[in-house]
Amino acid sequence: MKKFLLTTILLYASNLSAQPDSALAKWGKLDFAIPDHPAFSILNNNTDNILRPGNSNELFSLIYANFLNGKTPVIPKDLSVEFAPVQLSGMNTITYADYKKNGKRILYDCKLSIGGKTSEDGDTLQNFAIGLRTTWVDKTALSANQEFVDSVCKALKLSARDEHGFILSLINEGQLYNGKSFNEDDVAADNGLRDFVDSLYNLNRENFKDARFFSIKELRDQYKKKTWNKFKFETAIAFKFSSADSIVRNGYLSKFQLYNTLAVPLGKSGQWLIGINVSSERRDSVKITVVDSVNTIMDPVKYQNTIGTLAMRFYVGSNNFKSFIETSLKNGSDKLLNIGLNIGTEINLADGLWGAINLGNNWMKSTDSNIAGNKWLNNFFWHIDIRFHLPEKKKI
Amino acid sequence: MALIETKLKADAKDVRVIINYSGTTPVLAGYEYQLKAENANQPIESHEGDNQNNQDDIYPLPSPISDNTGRKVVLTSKIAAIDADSDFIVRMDVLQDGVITDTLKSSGHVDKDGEAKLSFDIIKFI
Repeated sequence: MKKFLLTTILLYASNLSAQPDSALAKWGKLDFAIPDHPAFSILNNNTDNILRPGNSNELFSLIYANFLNGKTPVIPKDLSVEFAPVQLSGMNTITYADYKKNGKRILYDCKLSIGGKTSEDGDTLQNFAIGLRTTWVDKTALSANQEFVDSVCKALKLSARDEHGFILSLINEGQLYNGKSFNEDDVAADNGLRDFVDSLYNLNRENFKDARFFSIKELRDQYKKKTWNKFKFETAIAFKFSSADSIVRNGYLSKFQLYNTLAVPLGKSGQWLIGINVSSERRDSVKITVVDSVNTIMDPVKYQNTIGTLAMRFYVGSNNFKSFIETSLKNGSDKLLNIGLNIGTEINLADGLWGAINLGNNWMKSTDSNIAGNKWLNNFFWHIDIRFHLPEKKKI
Repeated sequence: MALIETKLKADAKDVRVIINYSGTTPVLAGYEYQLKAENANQPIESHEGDNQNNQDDIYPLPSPISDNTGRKVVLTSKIAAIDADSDFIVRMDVLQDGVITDTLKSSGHVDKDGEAKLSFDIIKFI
């Protein structure tokens, strides 16, 4: 029952986006790699130290982690969804000029993520997280690419003038529609007639002296290849709620994390990500008081551990196949120095479906000068993630 | 409805037509605006524009306003999606002495994988 509840909560947002209401059928997606979700990352399901930047045009995405862990993946143990609440709720139309104004764009593109992680037996929801991501700058979006916008607008203006001339020529030549001639008023009043002349224009436009053949799709594809690694700056916050048994009954705020990610292009086929994160986590410990040679008193102690992280990741590849290497340095109020090395690959498996493989090692050592003889401890890890978002060709 | 008739006020001093494009996702639009006499091919005025900036998509009718009775505005628009499919609305407001007296709305759908769509809209002044 609890497994069902968890899955239901997490998939609720995805069902919202699948409503047949055209007002909700908004954002198809470019096939850039699926970003990490803040809620997913804070659950520690993702060992990455950098929150991978998102696609500002993305309405909904889902991460299903620990895909291959030796068990049948019927009910996911680690699951996260991310969606854009403003786009889903009532803000139905927007003008291009308004979208360009930063305040509205930031609000329009703001993403909310929720994630959950069950216990090892998969029966109890022990960790629940909520995250919010804001994109301050996104040079990968075509709407932000002035060169692309100018090219399209120029072609549209030419096309509007040509097509009006084409309509007048059809009228003057006595073109028939449903057996009758027509005039400008008829084209404006009858959507069927308008679509008829539009289809004739598309068939004939190359014969017009002012016509410029152009394809928005070709322009998009051309610019998308050039912009996947462009400059981007995002901030995200996430809150994690935990419980020793069930989050529903005994949940408490156990961790807060602030992520800042900067993406910078490296030539035509590389990308450099810089992450600066701060987290504060509630920890449990035990204070031991020696009473005498036989008796000790053990008192539970709760404390906050604050950690700062600086990480860098280098991507090399193309939009559909990239490899990365990541290094990170963490230090916190618990005086544990943590150095990480992580390598991996992201592959576009199919339209809207991505696979991410990574493996790495963490080295940890105490920096407390009161502790003598400290040694480095190391921990090897690997995992495979499957990530899904609404594909470009899918219509909801 | 992509064709409407609007009555010009007898004492109107200033009449403007405001063009606006919106969508469930942002769209780009290019247009040709023409002011024409009824049944004439040659326009009295002709302008081209796009929706990158709303401020320059406002066109005043020539004075005296009464001369525009029997004329019409013909707006030929081509609309394209940018990053995603969009349900778009072409809107033309008639502003008479600072008050919107009539609005034309024309809607359609455009695919980002498809060609730009035509919207052909007329306001007739009576």
